[in-house]
Amino acid sequence: MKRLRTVPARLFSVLLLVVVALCVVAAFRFVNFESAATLLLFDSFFVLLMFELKGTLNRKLGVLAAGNLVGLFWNLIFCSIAMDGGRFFGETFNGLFAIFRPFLNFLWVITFWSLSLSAFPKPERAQAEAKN
Amino acid sequence: MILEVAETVFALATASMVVYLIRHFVFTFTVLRRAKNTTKAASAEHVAFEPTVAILIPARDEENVIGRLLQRMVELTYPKDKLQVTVVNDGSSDNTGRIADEYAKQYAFIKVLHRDRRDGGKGKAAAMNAGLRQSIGEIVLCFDADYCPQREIVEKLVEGFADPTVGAVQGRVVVLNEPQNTVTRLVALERIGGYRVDQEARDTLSLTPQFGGTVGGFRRSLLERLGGWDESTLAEDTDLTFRTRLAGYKIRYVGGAECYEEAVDNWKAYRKQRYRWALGHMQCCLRHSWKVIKSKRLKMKEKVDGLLLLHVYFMPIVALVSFLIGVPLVVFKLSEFVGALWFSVPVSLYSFVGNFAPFF
Repeated sequence: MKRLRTVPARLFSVLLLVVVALCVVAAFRFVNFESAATLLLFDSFFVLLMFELKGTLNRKLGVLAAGNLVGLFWNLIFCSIAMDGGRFFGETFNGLFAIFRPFLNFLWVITFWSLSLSAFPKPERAQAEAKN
Repeated sequence: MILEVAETVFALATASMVVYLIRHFVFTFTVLRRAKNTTKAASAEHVAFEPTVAILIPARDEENVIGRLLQRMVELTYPKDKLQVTVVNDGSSDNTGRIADEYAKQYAFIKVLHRDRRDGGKGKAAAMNAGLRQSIGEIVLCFDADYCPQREIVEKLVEGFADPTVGAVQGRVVVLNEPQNTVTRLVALERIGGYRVDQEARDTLSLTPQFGGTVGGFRRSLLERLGGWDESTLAEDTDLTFRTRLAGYKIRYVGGAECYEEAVDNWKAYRKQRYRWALGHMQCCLRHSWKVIKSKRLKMKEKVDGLLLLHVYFMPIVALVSFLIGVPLVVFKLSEFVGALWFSVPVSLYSFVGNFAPFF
């Protein structure tokens, strides 16, 4: 990981961390506990695994913040669908939604995780293989 | 009473999936850390070790690919006076034997063992044992006929045997026809996950990398002591992996020793191959689980990883059970406990999708 030498770069890092924290708090406050837990799980895995890859700290934090924003809005939309669907379709919808919600919730995690890999530089070995 | 039983079964099934999730995480984290550290560290020192090597190539109706592999054998950079290649023509009904004979006439280090239709065709393990009896060489390597190894693969594989406690080595399989279709891309993903994550992590953590039946080899003395390949099991490679480890020998994974393969390219062949692997793996599970638990040679972490590896093909059944029990309990809100745990099912399911791969 390249060191962040300049003050603006450090400040930007702090800003991105604040975005991540705000997303988790907003998910807990305005959506539900499950959404906040999903974001926390995503953040933990991302920090432990993705931060081991090459790339600047700000790039990693930027992708992490973007992931949290996507997750927050995804959960907000699904929460709205659940409320409206429950009112409109009744108990059947609620039952089905209870089953599939965790799976649907993880769709954004898996997709974002895969896409975020393209934001980081490829390892030298992969580049060499691609050239050959 | 029924509710309590259902809750317990669901909890156990979910817990076992979470264990595999944790294992995946540990393996991935280990490999990422290792990759980071090896880029900083100097390259590993080269060990000058050149034992005599026997390469076994079991082949049955492989006329389309056997020539390519034998040509590659000719191009190997390992000293030919220390190399013997034995093609086991296992009752082929096509031109496999004739092509191999042509190479044997041209190159003294290539031998062909013809097994007629009566003796041959009894499986890969039987062909390997026949080849083992006919070949000479301190180290016995094996390649499938449809594979194409690197020219310097023998040097890379035998280097591990410089350590007398190493009984077997395993190289890496790379899918050559990855862009062909969805099946080949899926197989390539399995191979990458299996070799570059699991096998590498096992090697780094001093666990037991799995011998995959090809692109690897054994010390002849060990093979003879173990009685060669077991002809009664469908997964003779997994069986030999555990017999080697239980005999007190290490297995090393050499990621740099690459061999290229044409992966299966249709769902029917894919399903057939995986079914055979799963069945063989379950046989090994029943045969070796208790021995792994009892073994005094294995450390606790090796026992845990070994048991997880042996039971891996039971996990789809476990996942199905957890799903079938969980759905009615969640829909009809019969159990708050299962409702709370339901969240963990997709996490675990996602993590253990890779368990369908042979090395996960």
